[in-house]
Amino acid sequence: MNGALSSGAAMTEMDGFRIVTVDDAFADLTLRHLDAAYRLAWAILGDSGDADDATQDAFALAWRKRSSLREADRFDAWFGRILVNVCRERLRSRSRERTRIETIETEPAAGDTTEPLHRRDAILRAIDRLDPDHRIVVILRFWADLTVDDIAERLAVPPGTVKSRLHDALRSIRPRLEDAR
Amino acid sequence: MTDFELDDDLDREVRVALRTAIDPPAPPQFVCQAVADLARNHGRSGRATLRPVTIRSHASALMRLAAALAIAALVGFSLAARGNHGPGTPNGERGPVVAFGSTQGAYGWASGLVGWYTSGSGVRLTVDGGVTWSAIRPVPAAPGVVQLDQFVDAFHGWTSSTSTTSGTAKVVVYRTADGGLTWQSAAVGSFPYHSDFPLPTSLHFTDAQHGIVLVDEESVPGSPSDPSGPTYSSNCHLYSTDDGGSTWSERPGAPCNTLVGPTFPTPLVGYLATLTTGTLSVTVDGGRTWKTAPLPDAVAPRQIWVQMIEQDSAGALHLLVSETQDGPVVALPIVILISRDGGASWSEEYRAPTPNGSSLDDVVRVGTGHWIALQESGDPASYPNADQLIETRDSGRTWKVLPSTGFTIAGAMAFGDAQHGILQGILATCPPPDSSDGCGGSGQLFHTTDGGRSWQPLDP
Repeated sequence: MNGALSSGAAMTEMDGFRIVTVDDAFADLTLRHLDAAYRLAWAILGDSGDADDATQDAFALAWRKRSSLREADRFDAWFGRILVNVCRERLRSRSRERTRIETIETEPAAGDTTEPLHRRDAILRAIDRLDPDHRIVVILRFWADLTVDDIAERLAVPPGTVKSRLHDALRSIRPRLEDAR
Repeated sequence: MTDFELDDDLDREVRVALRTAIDPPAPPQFVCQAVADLARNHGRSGRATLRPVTIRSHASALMRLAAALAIAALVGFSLAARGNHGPGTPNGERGPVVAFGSTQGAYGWASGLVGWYTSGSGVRLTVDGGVTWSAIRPVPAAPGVVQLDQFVDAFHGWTSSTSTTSGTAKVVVYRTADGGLTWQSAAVGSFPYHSDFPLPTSLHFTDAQHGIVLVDEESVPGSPSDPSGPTYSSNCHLYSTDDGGSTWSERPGAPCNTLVGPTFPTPLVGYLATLTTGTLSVTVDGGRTWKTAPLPDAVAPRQIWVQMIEQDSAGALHLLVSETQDGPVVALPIVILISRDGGASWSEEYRAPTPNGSSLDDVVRVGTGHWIALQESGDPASYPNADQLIETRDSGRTWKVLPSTGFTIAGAMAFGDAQHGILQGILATCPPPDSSDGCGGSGQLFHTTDGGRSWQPLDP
């Protein structure tokens, strides 16, 4: 008939008579990862407003699920998975309208012959047109510089799936790059 | 050289394009503040635009959440977020209610008039139903992490501690036979362990002499059916004592779980949702032996919480399972399963909507077939203090609403009998509409002497 403590979810650490909760350690972990988490959310979502919301949602979700983190040194991968999932859901919810808008807004101006910039813009447009799953692997691989195995862990998919998504993504980028020549 | 190369040139060009085009700023101050609030308040924070988050961050709610996560992971669906949601606001959003400032630690009700809660560095006891409380009695100053677990009466209580050195965690149980004035210790065992977090242990006593400790030695991320799911255990140990905790013996058949310990609505009958197999383990002898069985298909593929288990006079076990869903309030059923073979198999016995369609957040047993549950009221006028207590006297078949508590319930309910109980609440208020703050207040303990019909704050 206990009301609160009866598992590892909330415990106290005795240091003399000082009681420190396990949650304090988790709080420290989350704060240390805020900056990197926000930047990654921004990179995936490409939008400050969405990154603001996604970051907070991810941390709120992490707090809710913190009892599932058993090893503090795995916080990066554990939280990264939460953050990426939150971003993916956000991408999915907005994908249709965003695609329509960007298709209109990001076509290169006629007569602009600055090829390197053209090529870069073409790549970015192509990435913006990717579906959320493919966009995320591209950002994690080429912007965040994660290995295929790290990406697989964060997405909870086999490494082969990551490789095939990267392959598909690059294959869809290539023709748009050719068009930019 | 990369570990994946489709085309070196394209690879490189994409990398350069992204790195020159994507230069995220630092997080804005209000995001830092919101996350810092979450950290400072241990997850009980949010802002007006933050979508509903769970604030029932007491252990019991976490256990239920984790149990639900565990079951969810097993059967291949995602668990809906549990939240202390207010009812719908005019724009359809439901904001979180936030516990600002301090909240209480452990508390519980041993039986009848005897209750306890942690305060500062120790524990306070009542033997008169919460009217008066003892001075603070320090819990043992042990190395490592101490978990205040249980009192079974005004004299006998236990805490467990784990201390980790060089990859080995040592579990020690401390016992008192004089209401916390003095404590004695006994080692349960040492286990290989490599985490900064405490070794998960669960302690339960049925009376002053007989108890168990479950030790969850090893955990690995994910589960066979859902690698992205929560951590599950693969190597658990069960110990029992017959002398009040002086000596401990390992027993076979430890149910290996999940993220959390078992829940014991009565001293003898308890349950444990098991992540690795998607099953439910139950005990009818205080945790010494367990039977494990899958849940029926009718409830397994859904988002569920196992809420209550009870054994009737004929020995049948009745299990209350409630379905849960994030987002708009819809009619959610509660399901009662029955087992006539001690938990070896289950069948659905009864299914009905919850009283107002919203999910049950916490269910406690106050007598035979007499349970009290926490539920969102669904009444926009009562937001932010929008929780309500409902009561059943026929094991979950019919429910009636108890008088409003007038506060948001933020901690697990604990009842010693049909009259006396304790819980943590928040007298929540909302800031002006143009504020970026959420609705909230300070957490404090309340107790009841009339079966939850009225609640009075405890004076710490």
